[in-house]
Amino acid sequence: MIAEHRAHEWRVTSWTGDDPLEGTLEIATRVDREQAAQAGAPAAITRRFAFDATPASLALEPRLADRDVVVRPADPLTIPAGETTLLYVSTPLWFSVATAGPRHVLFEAPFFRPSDTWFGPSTVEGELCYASRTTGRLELAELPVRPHRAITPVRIRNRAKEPLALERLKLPVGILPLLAGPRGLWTPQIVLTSSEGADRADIEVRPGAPAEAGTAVPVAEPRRRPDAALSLRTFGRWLRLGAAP
Amino acid sequence: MIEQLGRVWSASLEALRALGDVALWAPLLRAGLLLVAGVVLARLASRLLSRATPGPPGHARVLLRRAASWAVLGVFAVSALRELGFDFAVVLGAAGILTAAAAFASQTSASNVISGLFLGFEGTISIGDVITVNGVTGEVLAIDMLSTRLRTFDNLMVRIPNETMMKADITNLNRFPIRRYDLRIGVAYGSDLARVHAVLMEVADANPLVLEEPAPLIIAQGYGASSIDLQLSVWARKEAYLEVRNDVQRQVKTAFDRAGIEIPFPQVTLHARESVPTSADAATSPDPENATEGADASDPDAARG
Repeated sequence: MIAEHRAHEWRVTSWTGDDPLEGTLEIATRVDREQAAQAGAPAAITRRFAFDATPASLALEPRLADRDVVVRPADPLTIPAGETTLLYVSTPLWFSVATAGPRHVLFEAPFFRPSDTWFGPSTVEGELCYASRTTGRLELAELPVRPHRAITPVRIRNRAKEPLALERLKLPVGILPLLAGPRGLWTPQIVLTSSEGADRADIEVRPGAPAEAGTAVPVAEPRRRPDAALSLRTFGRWLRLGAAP
Repeated sequence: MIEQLGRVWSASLEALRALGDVALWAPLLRAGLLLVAGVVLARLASRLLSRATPGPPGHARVLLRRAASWAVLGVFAVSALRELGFDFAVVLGAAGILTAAAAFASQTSASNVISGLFLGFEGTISIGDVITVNGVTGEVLAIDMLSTRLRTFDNLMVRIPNETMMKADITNLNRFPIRRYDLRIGVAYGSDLARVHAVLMEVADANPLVLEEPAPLIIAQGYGASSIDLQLSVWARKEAYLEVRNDVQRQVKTAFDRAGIEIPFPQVTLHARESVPTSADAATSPDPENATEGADASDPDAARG
């Protein structure tokens, strides 16, 4: 992203990377014209914001995705009846560009545009989500650290009498705050309790930073308020959809 | 002349006396007030219903608003007519005959009205949907008493009678949140099909607007005259359908060019057979090369290859 300060406008050119699994994110405070020209990728979008007196600075703030994110474990994972497991998943981040005093959020964009996906039992009933390109891991050390993704510890409790075959998991990132700490960007731990072996689960958001994140502080509020008793269709175990020619 | 002026004066005086008669004016005034009140209250009822049922203007809501508005207006119109001295007992007595006459005269209209009601109750289409009817594709602007109005994408308005709508096959293009796009494509017989599959799946995976689930699908369509025919099926949210359709076609062509996979066009192979010139041919044509070409071109077997 390149931001130009002009007399009566901020001109912001942004583009997203091609490789969502890229492990680096460069932020430069000053760029020359040549760099700016090189950065003019075909998909670059220029936005202009007009002011009477242009604010002196812009703030770049990380946000969680604007839709829920569907994550898969590295391989099909089964949680036996009565067992609990802890899964680490990473989800893509957005950035918001805002002016300081008076604060105006100018726009939001993803660092890397994740793929759309459909989460539901049929092509008629379901919900549009983003697909996480990475997989959930049982060991935090196995999860690649990427600066443009946030890590969420997900504790899954299977209270049903049947084993829970976890093929995909919908993470309600909209109800989570974003936390920043010495070990990157995190969200609070969420606890999913499956009690009837159904696709729905009771969701509990543990307040505060997870222990693994260290002393993390909130940097972005949740996008929406959670319902008082949160129960969402979270586990997707339906078969392949729309295979008919 | 003076007599005529006198008569006019007398008539004017009579008229003025009649105008001054309150008994004649009062019913007219009351009827007028009732009509005005009816119009105001009908609009008020329509607005109240509109506020009570927020959301996009669906067909059922529009129908409800209109029905409420017409009902209120009807009640006030009848009251106004009663004020003017209309006897509705006589009107009701004649209603049977009138209904029979009207039924004959307005068969088509009645059919359209009833079809419109059924369309509303069925819920197949609503205002704002994009539908295809009898080969016409457009956005539903209104479902009126007699007809349904569509706006085509080249900004033409098409009026389709409701009766036709009831009888026709209607395809609602944006009823469901996601749609599938099928790209039929042929590859040369010499292509490595495993490689073709891999390239097609890479194209689908790389496009963020293509849904990861339901997963992209490649279906073998069979051996064509000039190519092995395949179908790449990808899903997209309905708002992104057109973009996905354009992107996928362009990206598949680019990926095939890069991977050296040929998309063949219909071809006919001609095998020219060399023939020995006869003495007669040699006599008519001094150029033996031309004589050979002429013989080949006229030979149907050679043309068939």
